[in-house]
Amino acid sequence: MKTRRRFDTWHLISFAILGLYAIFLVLPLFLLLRNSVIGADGFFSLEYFREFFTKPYYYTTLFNSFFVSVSVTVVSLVLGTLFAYFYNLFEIKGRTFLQTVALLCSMSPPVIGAYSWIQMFGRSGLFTKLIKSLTGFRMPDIYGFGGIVLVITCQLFPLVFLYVSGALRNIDNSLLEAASGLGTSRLKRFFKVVLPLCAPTMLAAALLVFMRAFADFATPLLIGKGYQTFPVVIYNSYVGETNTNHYFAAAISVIGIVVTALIFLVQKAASSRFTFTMNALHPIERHKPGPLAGALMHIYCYLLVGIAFLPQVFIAWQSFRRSNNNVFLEGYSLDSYREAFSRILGKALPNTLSIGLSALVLVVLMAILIAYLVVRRGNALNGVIDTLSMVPYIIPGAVVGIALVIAFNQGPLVLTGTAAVMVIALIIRRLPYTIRSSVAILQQIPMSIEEAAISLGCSQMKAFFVVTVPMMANGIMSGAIISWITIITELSTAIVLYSVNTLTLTLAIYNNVVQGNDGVASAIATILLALTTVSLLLFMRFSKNKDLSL
Amino acid sequence: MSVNITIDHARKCYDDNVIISDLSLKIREGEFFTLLGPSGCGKTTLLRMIAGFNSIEGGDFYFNDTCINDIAPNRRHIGMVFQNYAIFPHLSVKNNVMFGLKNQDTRLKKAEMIQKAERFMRLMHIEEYADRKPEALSGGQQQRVALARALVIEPDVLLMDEPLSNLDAKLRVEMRETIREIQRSVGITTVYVTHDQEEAMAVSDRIAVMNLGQIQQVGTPQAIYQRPANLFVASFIGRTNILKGRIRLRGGEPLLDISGETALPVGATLRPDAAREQSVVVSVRPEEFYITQGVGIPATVNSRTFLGLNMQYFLTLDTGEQVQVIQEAELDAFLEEGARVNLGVKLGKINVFSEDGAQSLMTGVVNDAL
Repeated sequence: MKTRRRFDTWHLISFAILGLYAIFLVLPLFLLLRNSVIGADGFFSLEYFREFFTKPYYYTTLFNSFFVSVSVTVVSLVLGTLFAYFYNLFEIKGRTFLQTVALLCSMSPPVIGAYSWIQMFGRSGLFTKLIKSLTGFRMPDIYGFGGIVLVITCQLFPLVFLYVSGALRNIDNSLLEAASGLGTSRLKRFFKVVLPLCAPTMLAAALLVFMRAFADFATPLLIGKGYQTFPVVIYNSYVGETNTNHYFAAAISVIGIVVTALIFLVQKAASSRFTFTMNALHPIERHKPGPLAGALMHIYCYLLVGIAFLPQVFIAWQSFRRSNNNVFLEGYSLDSYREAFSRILGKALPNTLSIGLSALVLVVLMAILIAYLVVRRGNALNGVIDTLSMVPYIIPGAVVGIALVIAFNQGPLVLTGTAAVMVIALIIRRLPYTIRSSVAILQQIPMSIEEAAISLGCSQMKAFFVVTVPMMANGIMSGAIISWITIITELSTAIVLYSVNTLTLTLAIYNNVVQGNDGVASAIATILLALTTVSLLLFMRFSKNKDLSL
Repeated sequence: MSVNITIDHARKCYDDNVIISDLSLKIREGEFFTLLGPSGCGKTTLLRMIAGFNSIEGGDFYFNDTCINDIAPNRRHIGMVFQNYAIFPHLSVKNNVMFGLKNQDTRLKKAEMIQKAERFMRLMHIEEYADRKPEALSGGQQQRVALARALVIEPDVLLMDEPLSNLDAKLRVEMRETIREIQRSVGITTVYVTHDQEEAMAVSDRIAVMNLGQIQQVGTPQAIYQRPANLFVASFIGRTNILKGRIRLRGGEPLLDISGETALPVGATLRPDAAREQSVVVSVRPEEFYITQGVGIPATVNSRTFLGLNMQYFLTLDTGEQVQVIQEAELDAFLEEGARVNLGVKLGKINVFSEDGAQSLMTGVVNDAL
């Protein structure tokens, strides 16, 4: 007699999650696709695609975005890898400080970076004017391609640093010793041994950086000026002041998804060619560099991190300056904060906390459940969930927002303008990362632990919550803090979805920047930065090994 | 309460991959029963079917007269000990041991639980670690915790999946005595999985030797070592030399030729129906040879290894077959490489199998396999 296939709670959870994905991901994407091919006459038409690819105004943005993303990726890889190499192979003073600051750079919202660089080196920037008055020399313009690459790189090279550091920690010291023993010089060793061993990780980092750079929309919007990128066009065609056309926005969104999907597949193909696993018994020992080399390394590390962190310091400083009617004056005051708090205490701050916390709790809960289904309950249904959960990884934030609006603007379920839709958007965007890290944690926990609990009388569900979840807790907690930071700094989806009632801190910053309220914008930005910093310090207390996975 | 276990035509497969095609077995109440076999033979699969962690694709499993196929694993009232201990790392030793008590239908009072847990911790000599976290314990101590945790709920059956394979050699010997002792004193039906035949022989009342998802022989350690049911059992249990041989009849008496015309009179131990002209394979364990200057199989010494108690010789028979011989090590008396010797065999002990190795041709084979 066969054992009956028991229909248990986990099956129910599978169906529930699949249902949620169907409603909040598959349906919106389907409607997005449908809208993209409906012409002005209401019938099937490819007119928007034709328009996009025949008008240079549109299709050049695709090239622009591509150039920006590739440039950012290459520069970030070089800067970040070199930083990681110095940091992990040599004695660098102030290690924890450097790492913390680098992390802060990667976590600050892009809108702050772009805004701050403009405040420093823009046409009427503080430093631009200072240099002009001191030397008579007019600084080159920060707007356009160069500015975009600068701002995004400052934010993304730390990701490469984190990834490559992780890979370097997995290299066994004996590999380096073997290379030296075979008569390889340090420089040659770097190119022939260290870099190839880090290659798979660098590819993974490259994909992440490319996706983030490609989807970044606040930076080019503020600092791009004439240099239009793809997400800006999506945004403009959707909420812009002129020519808003939702169908056209849908069509561009589809093009965006196709591009990122292609990049994703190319990266997959490339990384499948070199996969190997490493596990270091003896991690790399850090050497003391010679005096000259040591000085150069310190200069490199501190200069890099310093430049990347400069915008945040500047914004914090500016938030304390005295100002009158948006003109900064001599001296300092807390007026900007008084004004800022009066504007955000009512809505933006409570919204950020409530929307952020709701999203966070749901993301963590769903990620744990999905990770369990994928790792422990491998079947066709859960395979579909696994694939679906990774789809948002390649969809630019603004596109997620547009798809949700299309789906829930009318019909049986109207959600636009509510906090619910903001929460849903954040969950969709953050889930792929949280699931991946939960899966990694769960894979470390042997199945037999749960079986032991079951043999001792626990039901499957109870075993999961009493034994497995507590064992995952540490990893989940540190993952949750990272999720929290990305959630409270999110802008690109929120800007499509928000209404007066669901204003958040990042949106408040953006709006004040656009309106030219520099003092208030700086103050709110500084509050957000403080929130991020506190969260990060909390994270570093929680995570035992200080290894980060984003 | 201890139970007997009946497995009736069990079948296990993953899609088209059949692990166990048709397996039947009876495990007696209170006995220490071992599933022994090489990796991949299906022994752990079978154990996990008893535990309920693997689905059953066919056949019935009974505890006494109760069919357990559809009983969830947490309701089977089993105690299980895992290869990697599976101690809950976030709970103290005491809370690990009490874990099962807290899940019982009729909940004991807290004081009773603690009392019970303490009794089993004392039994396993871990009472001094009661409030420590498991990560502070050695592998052997962790396995003691696992055993106490499994036994404290007084299960009907104790299932152990290679519990000693992560321990070092010395601790393994020590722990297996402990396990044997505890099992005797508690008197619980125990199913034990191992690939280590020495360990199996040391702890078991009876052993089932498995290969390729089938039971080869079930019997006491002595029975399967001395009179293996087939060539696989002979070569898996202990070490042995497999030689080609031939049985011929002289005056109605069966004679066994190994490596030439040795004419060993095997009539006393050979099954009567096997006493006919046929090719056979012969299993001669290293200790069943003796080196002699008298009549025997001619051989040349290749090398020797001194093992303390014994001296192990590697020899080549004149047919080219390689054999191992073990002799008690004597002071200053050993054979040099290249020495020519004759090998005698201890006739009563050797085993003769049909030419394909599928069955023993000896009398006195005990096989409880169904």
